[in-house]
Amino acid sequence: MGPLIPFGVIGAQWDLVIALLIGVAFGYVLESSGFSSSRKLAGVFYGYDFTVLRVFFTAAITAVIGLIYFSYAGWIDLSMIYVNPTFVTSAIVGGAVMGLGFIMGGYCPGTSFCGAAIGKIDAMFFTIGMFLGIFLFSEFFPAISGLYEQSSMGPVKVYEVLGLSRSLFVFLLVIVALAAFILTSMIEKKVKKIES
Amino acid sequence: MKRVYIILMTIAVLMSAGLFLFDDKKPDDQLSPQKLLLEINDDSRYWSTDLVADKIIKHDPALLLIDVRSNDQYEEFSLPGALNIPLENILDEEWQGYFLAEDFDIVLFSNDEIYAGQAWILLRRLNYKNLRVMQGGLNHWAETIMQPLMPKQSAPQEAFELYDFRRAANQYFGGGSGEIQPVDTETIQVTRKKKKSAVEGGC
Repeated sequence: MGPLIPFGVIGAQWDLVIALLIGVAFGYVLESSGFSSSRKLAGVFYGYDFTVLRVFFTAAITAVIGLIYFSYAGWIDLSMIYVNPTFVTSAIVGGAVMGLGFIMGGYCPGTSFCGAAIGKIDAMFFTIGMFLGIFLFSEFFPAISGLYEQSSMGPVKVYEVLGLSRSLFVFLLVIVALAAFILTSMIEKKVKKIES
Repeated sequence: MKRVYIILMTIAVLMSAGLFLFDDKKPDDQLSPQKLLLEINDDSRYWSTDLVADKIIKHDPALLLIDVRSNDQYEEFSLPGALNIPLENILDEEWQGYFLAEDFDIVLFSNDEIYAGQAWILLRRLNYKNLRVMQGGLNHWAETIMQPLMPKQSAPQEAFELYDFRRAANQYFGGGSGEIQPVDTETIQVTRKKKKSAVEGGC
């Protein structure tokens, strides 16, 4: 049956409408989880607030378990799902740059818009910086395209690279996630909470 | 820790452990044996030689003839415009694009129906659509189109009309000599569809 849009269950002309609805829902969830506060987001790096880690880890394991069950039920064709191609070098470099920006600014791209939407000035400057970064990246792309395209692995999946079965990998991922939840909540109790 | 978190965590562990139960189940991109059996018993896949001849004469753009016999036999004689994909090579990657061309009526044929029928079952199992088998194969083609028999005087009008069509078709296909020069297959333009294009998108 799914994915709904590529199989024409929902017409492609609804793309923007659906994107808008999902965007509004995503923004609402981010804001109501307190993700429009840079203090809360940066807390994951300083060790006093791990909500970010828990929320995204929960999203990941919920999505992975749900998708696999849906595929077994025949509701979704997993081969139609877009898998980001892996470029090892640029993932490491990009991850370091993004992490540095995250620590310094206290936002990631999505949450900076959330913060800007509720009038946080640091978030607005963060978004300006982000567009500046996009502009510079695009302008200098020919110069760094060698680095960007280095060590391409194609659209691989983690469990394929590790040689594990999918079920085992998902199970281990869930265990790691839950261990991280318990561990981080223990750390949080010891560290003084900073009000956002 | 709150009780609700413990419950949710237990659910997550159980759900992920439950995946092991389904580990061997493959996604259902092939036709199930039950459905295949239904289709085998349904003879709507057969196209008569007359229908195929009519479509060739009318240059039906949606017709894709596939000769599943060996290359030698194909070189000797085949239907005009037919593509040669020997049965043993029918699952080769290079031909899959032709079967994916869903706008086409793909007509499989061999000397009789056996090889074409085998090819049909293989391809249907892989869930390719719009596949036909020319009924009776080339032997029946020779009997009906190449050397049509004049119906008896007492035969119904339709039989005479069919006979007229077959004689006309016979003229079209080379006047009963039985020699057909197969069209250069390089000229067949098939728009190959990609097998499956994943949805583009990112974070």
